[in-house]
Amino acid sequence: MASVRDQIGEVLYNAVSVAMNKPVADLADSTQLVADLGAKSANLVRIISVIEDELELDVSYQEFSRRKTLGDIIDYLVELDES
Amino acid sequence: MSHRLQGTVVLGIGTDVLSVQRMRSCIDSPAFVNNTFTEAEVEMGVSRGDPAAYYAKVFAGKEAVFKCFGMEADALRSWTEIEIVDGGQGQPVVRLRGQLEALAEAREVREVLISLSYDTDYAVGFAMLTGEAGHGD
Repeated sequence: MASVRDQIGEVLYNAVSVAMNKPVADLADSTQLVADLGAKSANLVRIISVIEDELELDVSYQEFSRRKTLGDIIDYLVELDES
Repeated sequence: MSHRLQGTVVLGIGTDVLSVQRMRSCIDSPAFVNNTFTEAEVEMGVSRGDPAAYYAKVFAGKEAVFKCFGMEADALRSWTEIEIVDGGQGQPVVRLRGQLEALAEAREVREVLISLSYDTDYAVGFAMLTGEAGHGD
């Protein structure tokens, strides 16, 4: 059975893949949303919106955008899910 | 620093440019549209021939407005605190809500002026905060 972290990671990877038009296979926990994928605020808002919708979490744009890599973002979402 | 123009002071300016294609890839998510645009903005967006171009203009306008306040996007509580709608005669108008409305009041902002435009690939928003000379400058 997949861990909570794995499930959250899958949702994030899929959301990033669709928003940035990148195959999931090209993404890694070390991938940086802004520096590597060129995400701008509209992309971040789209990713956050999908995550909130699918995981039923209230994600802070401020906290989300402070995390640079997908791994950092997953850590933040896991914390949020546990709080 | 502020600039006096016939009894008016410019309290801040902001500009932003956004790819229409980037917005096109965002608005296929209903959650994105609902979190980013007000009901009035959506009503106008869906009535346009190319909603993505319209939403890109409005989004660029929202970014321009909060830049006027010297804020980064991550300080904005909700994108719907800035509403940009047609004010008649093709001139867009800005309505502020929540923390931005309070901030505008605290800084004695009289008006938020905005200009939006787009060509095939890009949309641009330019905004300016004005106040009365002698107040808040």
